[in-house]
Formats: sequence, C-alpha cells, structure tokens
Amino acid sequence: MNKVLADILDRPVPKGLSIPKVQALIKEVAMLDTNSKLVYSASGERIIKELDKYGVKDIPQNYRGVLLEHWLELLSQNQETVTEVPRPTGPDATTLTSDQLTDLGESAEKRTQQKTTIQAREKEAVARFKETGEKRYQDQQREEALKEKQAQELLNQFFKKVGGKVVVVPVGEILEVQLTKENKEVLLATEIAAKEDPATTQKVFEEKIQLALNNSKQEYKDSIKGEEIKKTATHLVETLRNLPDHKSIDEIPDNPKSLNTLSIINPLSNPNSPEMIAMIPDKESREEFAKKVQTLMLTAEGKRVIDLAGARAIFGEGGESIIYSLYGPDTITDFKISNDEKDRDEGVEIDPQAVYEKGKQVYNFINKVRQAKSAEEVTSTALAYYPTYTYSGVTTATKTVSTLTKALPAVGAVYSFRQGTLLAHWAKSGTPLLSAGNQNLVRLLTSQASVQEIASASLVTFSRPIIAFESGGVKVLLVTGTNKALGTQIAVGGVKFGQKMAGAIAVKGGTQIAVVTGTQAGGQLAVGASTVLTKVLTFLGGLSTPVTAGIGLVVGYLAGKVIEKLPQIKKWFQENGPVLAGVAGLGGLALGGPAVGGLVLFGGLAATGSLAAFATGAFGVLGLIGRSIGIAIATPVIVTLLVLPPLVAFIMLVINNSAYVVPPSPYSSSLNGGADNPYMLVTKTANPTKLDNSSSNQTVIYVVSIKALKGNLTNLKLVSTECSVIKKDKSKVECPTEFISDLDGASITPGNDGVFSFTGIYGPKYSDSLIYDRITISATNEAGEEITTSGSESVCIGNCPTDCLTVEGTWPAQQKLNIEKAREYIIANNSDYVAHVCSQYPDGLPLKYGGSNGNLWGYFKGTHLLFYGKGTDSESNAIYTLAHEMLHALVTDLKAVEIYLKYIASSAITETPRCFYSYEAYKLEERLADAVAFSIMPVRYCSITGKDSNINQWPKHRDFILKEVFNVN
Amino acid sequence: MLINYKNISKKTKMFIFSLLILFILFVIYILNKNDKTIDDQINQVKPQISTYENLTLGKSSRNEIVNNIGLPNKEYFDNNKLHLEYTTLNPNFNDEFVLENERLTFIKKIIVINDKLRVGDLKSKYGNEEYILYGPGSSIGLKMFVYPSKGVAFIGFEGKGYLTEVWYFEPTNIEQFKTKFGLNYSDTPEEIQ
Repeated sequence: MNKVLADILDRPVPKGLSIPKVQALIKEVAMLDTNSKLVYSASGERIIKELDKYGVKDIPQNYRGVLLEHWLELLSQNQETVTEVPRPTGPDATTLTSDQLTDLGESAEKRTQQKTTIQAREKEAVARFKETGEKRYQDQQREEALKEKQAQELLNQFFKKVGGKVVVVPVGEILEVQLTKENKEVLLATEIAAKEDPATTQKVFEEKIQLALNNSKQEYKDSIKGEEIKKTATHLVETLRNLPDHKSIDEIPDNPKSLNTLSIINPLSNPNSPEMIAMIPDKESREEFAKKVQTLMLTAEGKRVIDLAGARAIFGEGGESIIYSLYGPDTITDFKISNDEKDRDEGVEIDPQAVYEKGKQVYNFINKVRQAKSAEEVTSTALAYYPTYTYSGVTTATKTVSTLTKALPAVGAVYSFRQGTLLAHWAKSGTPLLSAGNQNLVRLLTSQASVQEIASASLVTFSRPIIAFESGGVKVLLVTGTNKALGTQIAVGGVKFGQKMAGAIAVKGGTQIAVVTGTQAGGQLAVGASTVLTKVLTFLGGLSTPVTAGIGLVVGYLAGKVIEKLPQIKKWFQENGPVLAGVAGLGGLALGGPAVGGLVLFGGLAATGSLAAFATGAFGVLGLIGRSIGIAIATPVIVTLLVLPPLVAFIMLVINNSAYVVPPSPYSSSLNGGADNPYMLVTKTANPTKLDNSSSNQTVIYVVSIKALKGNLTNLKLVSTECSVIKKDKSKVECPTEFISDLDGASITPGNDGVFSFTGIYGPKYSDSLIYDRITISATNEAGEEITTSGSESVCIGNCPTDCLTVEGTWPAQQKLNIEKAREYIIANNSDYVAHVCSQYPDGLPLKYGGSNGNLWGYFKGTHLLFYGKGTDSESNAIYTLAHEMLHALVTDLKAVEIYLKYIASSAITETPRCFYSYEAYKLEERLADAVAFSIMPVRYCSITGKDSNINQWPKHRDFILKEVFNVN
Repeated sequence: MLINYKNISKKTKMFIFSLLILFILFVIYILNKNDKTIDDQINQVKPQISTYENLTLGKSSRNEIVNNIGLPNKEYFDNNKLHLEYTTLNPNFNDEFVLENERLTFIKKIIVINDKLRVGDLKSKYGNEEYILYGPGSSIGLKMFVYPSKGVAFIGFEGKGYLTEVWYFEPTNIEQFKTKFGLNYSDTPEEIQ
C-alpha cells in the first residue's frame, strides 16, 4: 500500500477551500510538475506556502497534485457553493533545482497510475452524485406533489364547504359606452350584413384586416397568417350574428353600459384580500387557487386584446365605441366576494372549483407550450386545437359588399398597443402576481400584440319565437334556446309596453321562475315583488350593450332559481299573464327584460353551473372572451379551443420576433404610441427651414440623426414617414416624393450617432405653405426590447400658416425645439383649429417661456401663451399643453366666447373627458380645453382613468368640438 | 277607418270641443310666453322691490310661485329649504326658486345665448354694479355683477355682453350676500392654467 497515497486519500478537505480555489492550485502545481525546465520558481515557492496553510507541509511535493485532485473530488461530491478567488499569477522564472528534477522524473509513472485511479473514483463519484441528485429531485418532487395534494385537499374542502358557489357583488361603477348615430349606423349595417350574408361579410372583414396588415409593421405581416385573419373575421361575424335583430338604429341605445367580463372573477385573484383569507385560511392553498385564477384572467385578457386589435382593423378608430360595446371596456369593475347570506339573492354566483380547474388547465398548457423548442412545434400544438370553418351558402355578395363598403371606414393600420388595465388594477388593489409563469404572461400581455386567429363556434342556437306579436305599444315574445355543448335549454319571455318592460327567464334545471321588470335604457329595476336585487340590477338596468348583455346577466344570475321545464314556463305565463298586463296597464312596470330598444330578450344560455350560465349568457354577447371563460368551466375542451390558440399565437409572436416591450410602469405615459423613450432620440432637421415663394424648384436637405441614449441599439428600422402640406389658402397639395432608404437593421452606439439625409424638392405650387414631415424609427435595445420614436421637422415657404403662433422671448433650447415641433404638429394635423384661434388674434398670439415653475404646465395670459418647464419638457407634453392653452385663448371674453355658452347648453358637458389633469372634473372650461387637446394629440396613457386619451371615448365632446371649435361641418 | 260624425254622441262632441278650446288656449299661452321683449325681461326684475313676475322676495309662498310660474319640474327639500326647479332652454341647468320658512328667498334664472337680454341692458336698468365677484368660469371672463342693496346679481361676460344667470334675493349687504349666496365666489378671478 502506498502509505502516502493512503494518507492523502484519508485527508478531509480543509476549511476555506472551494472548488475554484482547488482547481486553480491544481493548474499551478501541474505546471510546476510538468515544466522540466523549471529549476526554481518564486510562484512555486508561494504555492507551496499556500498549500502549507492547508496542512500539506508533510506531503511530498510530487503527491501534492494528487492530494488536490482528491480534495476536488470530495468538494465536487458535496457540491459546495463556489466562490471565485484571485488566481495566482504565472511563473516569473524558469529554473528548477536538480532534486526537483529527480523527483519529477520518478513520480511521472506513479502520477499516471494515480490519475487513472482518480478518474475511476471521479466516475464513481459522478454516478453517486447522479444517484443522490436524482433521489433528491425525486424527494423534492414528492414533497411538492404532497404539498400540492395537501393544498388540493384543503381546496377541495373549501369547494365542498361553499357548495360550488361563491357570491360576488359589484361595488364599482359600470361604465357607459357612448354610441353616436354614426356608430349605430355602422353597427346596424354590419349586423344585418352578418346575419343576411355571413360568407360575404366574413370575406369583406378578411380583406379589411389584410389591407390593414399591409399598412402595418413588418412584424405583424410576418406573424399573422391567412388562417388567423379568417378566424378573426369569423369571430366578428359570429359576434354580430349573436346580436338581437335590430330593425333600426333607434332600437340601439345611445349609452349602453358595458362590463369587462373579467371583473366577475377578479375578486378571486387576490390571495391577500380579507374575503379570500376568510374563505381559504391556508396560505398555500389560497395562493395556489389565486394563481390559477390569475392565469385564467391573464389568458383571457390576451384573448381580448387580440379581439380588439382585429375589430379595430375593421371598425377603425372612429369605431372604438362599437368595439367597446362588443367586447366590454378596458376597465375592470370592482366586485367583491360577499359572505352575506342575502347577497346570495343579489350577487353573481361563481363556481370556484370550475374556475380553478380551468385555470389549472390553462396553466399546464402554457407550461407545455413554453417547453416547445421551435415555432413550428408551437404551431403544430396549436393547430391541434384550431376549429376551422367558413360560412357558406347562397350569398348576395354584391349587395353586402356595397353595404359594408359604405358603412365601414377606410382601412388604417393594425397598430400596436400595450395592455396594462388588468395589471394596473391588480397593482392598485394590492394583488400580488403569484407565479413566474404568470409573470411571463404579463410580459406577453404588455408586449406588442396583433391580429391573430380567433376561434369561434356556434354555441347557442335559438328557435323561432314561440310567441311573437306586436300590437299598438305592446310587444310580446317567447323564445327558447339550446346550449349546443351541454344540450340544456333556456326559455326567455317578455312583454314591452312603451318604455316599460319586464321579462321572465327560465333555465332547465332550476326550481322556479324569475321575473324581471324595468324600463328601457337602464332605469332602476326590480325583480318581481320580492327582494330587490339592488346591486346587480343597478348595473343590469344599464348593462345593455346593443347585444342585451343585461338579459344575459339575468340569465346567469337566475341560473339556480328558474324553473325546470318548458311546459311549466308556458303554464306560468298562462297563470301570470293577466297580472302583468294589469301592471302594464297602470303605466308602471310591464313584462320584459332589461332589453334594449325593443323586445330583445335572448342572448342567454342554460348551463348547469351558474357561472357558466352567467358567462354564456352575459358574455356570449359581450365577446368571445367571456363566452370562452364561461363555457370552459363547463366544457373544458371547447374552452381550450377558444382560449388557447390566441395564447399560442402570442407565444409564436414572441418566438418569431424575439422582442417584446414591457412598459416601465403601468402608469407611465407616452405619446406617439410610446415613441418617446429614454433609449433613443431621433431628430430631424431641414436646411433651410424657411424659403421664399419662388417660380422655380427649391431644394431642402433633410438630415435625420438617431442617437443612442442608453446603451447600444441594434436592428434599426424605418417604421413610417408622414408628410402633409398646409397651404395658407387651404387648397390641397400633395407632398413631394421623398426617397428614403430603409436602415437595413443597422446598429448604433452611444456617442456614435446614425445619420442619414434625403432631399425634398418644392416647386411653385408650394407657395405660402407649411410642409410638415415626420419620421418614425424603431430599434432593439440591449434588453432585447423594441423601442420606437419619432422626429419631425417642417419647412415654411413664403407666408406659411404659422404667423399667429410665434415663439418669442428666451427659451431653453430643448423646450424651444419641443414647442416649435408641437406647433408644427398641430398645424399639420389640425390647421382648422389653428386658423380659428389665429382669426381671433390678428396681431399674433406669442408663445413665451416662463421658467420651470413647479408642476405648472402653461397659462393663457390674455395676450400670449406662457409655457413652463414640465409643459414643454417633451414634444408630446408640448403638443398637449399648446392645444389646451390655445382653446383658452380662443374661448374667452371678447374672443369666441360663444363657444362656451353653446358648450354649457350642450349635452357634451354630461361627459367628463379626463386623462392626467384633475381640473376637468369640475371646471367646464378645463374640460373643454382637455377634450380639444385629446382630439388633436396622439393618444397617450391616462394616469387618472387608467385608460387612454382617445377622444372617441367622449363622442359628444368630439362632435361638439368638430362643429364649434374646429368649424368642421 | 272612417268615422261617421253623426254616430258620435253629443257628450263626446262636447268633450272633443272642450279639448280643442283647451288646445287653442295652450297654443296662445305658448306663443305669448315666447314673445317677450327685452323690456319685459328687464321688468321681470324690479330691483327696488325685489320682485319677479308678481313674486316678492321674502314674501311669496310656494302657492304663489306655482300660480305664477306653474308646477315645478322638480321639487325637493335641501337643508330645510324648499327648492322648486323649472326646466329652461339650457337642458343642463334649471331655474331655481328657493323658499325658507315657506317664504321665497332666492331665485336663479338661467339665461341662454339666444335670449336677447345682455349685461348692458341690466346695467342700464340698475346702474353700475356695486361689487364684482368671480367664480366658475371667471378664468375666461365670467363675472358676477352684484347689487346687494337692490337684491339682484347677474353673471355674464362684460366684453361681449352675454349673460348666463340672473339672481334675485332679499336686499342685503355684500358680506351677508357672500355668506348666504356667494360661497363659490371671491374677489379675485382665477387664471387659466
């Protein structure tokens, strides 16, 4: 036995040694051992001293390497946490003593043997480690499974305890959607087209989406396929076909209330809420439950985002109200879990187990998709879930195409958006994000999204009405329907007398009938003569999207309370008809539901679970998201079809583009679609910027400079260019052709700007005009996020229409640049407004700077506009401030103050346009000024409302401003 | 379906005739109501005695108001004061009649842009204002011209002359006026932000 070796192998690892340190020492020792030319080494001496510190003084030099290898093996087995240590420096001499040379020669053979031994031991150690590791892993898995099982058992106890029902009641405001006459005309036209000729309507929708895509970013073009477009179009057709039959726009309400369908299950997503803690005391179980609810919500949110993108491509920006009425608002309405027994009759019942199981299913699927190694694999997985169908049958294509062409706006582009409503709501309510998986979903949701395929299926069918007649002011209807998935039946009947109505809803499986009475368009409602369902019905009264969401909600609410079979419904009508007629005769309450603009009492669907019934009824008409959630609870397969493909599409988008943008915070605001950002600055300059009128062509050289502000920027791309010519005499002139080459994915670094130039040639037709140019560029930052920003410039030829708004006095350079660009933007985008304001100030309305002045942004000072630091610290803020203050300059005594008098007598003041300035709430002049600013500036995020500043949210203001402020008739 | 006049009973004919008379009277009333001159409108406010359409501030009762103005569109108690509201040509704001201890103490009349009454007309009638106060809309030039001793105040744009409201109250001094009616008004205008 080699005693030395035996001794070595018995030595434990000294304290303080780590794997890297041992590895470093081995290297050094090996170098000393193998370099035959080494006679003496200062570093060798240092290494020896270093080793001596660990008690190896008595070990022969030629065994030191063996000892170190042994320690390395031991350390590797224990897998200690490693800490990098400073590595010894290299040898600075090349001499070795003769004794050392002798030792080296003698030990060579032994070392070979030792290494073989050590290698064998290493193999054994690795095997042992693997075995141990696997055991540990299995133990860990078992432990987690046990925990999950325990959590599941506790959850099961909870599910059992609540008897499959948790009641939530609304405590927040249900928002209204304002539908203009034009909105209603579009809605009616598309609804009729979808019902009469779905095949052609689908085709037209597909074409519009395709056109929108053609105008969109390349990434959308790349990621959105034909099949996906078809699905989007199909879904919208299906949604429109589910609307009640409106004969005229008068039957569609002006201000239907609309509910974000996620609001209902949102109370179950916060594990820290007192109600949740009371319901599920065990923390782990509670978090497990909430995690799955969050997953479900995030997925559905993603689905909704896709729906909105698709609908926007079809209805355009002017159709926002239509879109929100079909898909619900962005805002989550507060609901709370109620333990109050009486709320069981007033709230909405949710089956928590069904929600949990659905969330779990989605969660597992997400994990499965995440493990896919390629986009192809994701696609193939997703394709397995695709329901595909196209409308067929006899079409009247020409007529439908003509109708839709007239009804729908010109196609714009599919534009990107960020989704933060749900997250902002959670942030405000203190709901933690419970899993990494969900965090990934959040990233997906906050990334750019686009039109994706949307699954759809005819889940509800209604028979022809059993009873349907109209006489004088009285209308009566009884209709039955079937849930194709479950086979359950529903019957809905009602009577409308004038503006009063009431309805009865019956769902197979219930025990009694329920009666709803009320008035058209959202009056206070009562149910029968019994307990008033105050909270639910408060919004039920107005929860009348054009698609009778209200009745759907009633159906859901009443799911557990209604009678079982159709014959009994008929019997009930026979028995109770005279009573109800009597009520109607008194001019009070008549039969009918919270129907909209007529006796439209369907949209509901029976199901065993109350939430499913609720969702299929209420959501079925609100949009596919809700419907999919609801039906998923009862029929997971169908939900899988409906919910998961968009999620997969999202993931595909991310895989394909390898870029998504997470906004810095839910409350960040940015203009220009997020163009202003801290990573990139685009400046566009023109030389010269002022030209005299000329009878010959004049040349302007534009220079675009792209500056990286924080780290390198790669993949630079030219996203878009905009140009407009504003003539003093308001005549129309086309922009000159500019030849701008793409950036071809170039890169820039801080201090190394990217610069390119192009030329504009302006002939005599551009006399007395302002040529406004804007260029938008995207890039990828070091975090892999795509960022976009814009730069603009204008050229004034002759007496161009900026003569009123003169920038005067001393300005900081950046602020001056911003206000000049803001002026150019407003002139370019709304010359009518500028002309109107300037008409009141023939001697000019100077724009002056007043210093930083805290939080103040700007003032109208009677003869000039005064701007402060914050109001002009970015181009976007400057646009808002200038547009706002210009209105004050216009609407004041001795100027166009008649506008104010008309405003306070108009219905517009019933709306409160708000974004990030609080005075609009109670100062009418500020409200109008902000509404004007919202009409002009690029849409931006609103910190007060959590929504955006799109003026279409306030159509009465929009219309008033168009007519009275912009003078556009 | 044609109706044979001969088949209608005498009672029914009388009823229809009465309805026709009532309708004609109603039309005459409406036409007269909309045919007021500027003088009529000014005379509605007789500051010296604080009256409005035969109503006397500090004296008239609810019944007198109803007899003169008609039934209100809205009636309610607020802070022990009875409010009667009447719709105006501005759908957003109503005329208000306020009674305390069953006596009329305050009237607010809404003026719209189509009314011909202007700031200058009232100034001609009442002379220069005793005080000017500033409240909502003051940032764009709205002023309240107050005549506490005459029991009248009105809000409008001095430059262009448009009026938005005329108030009637029992003659008082400026301090009491501010305390009782002018809580939202101050001596200095707001600036536009």
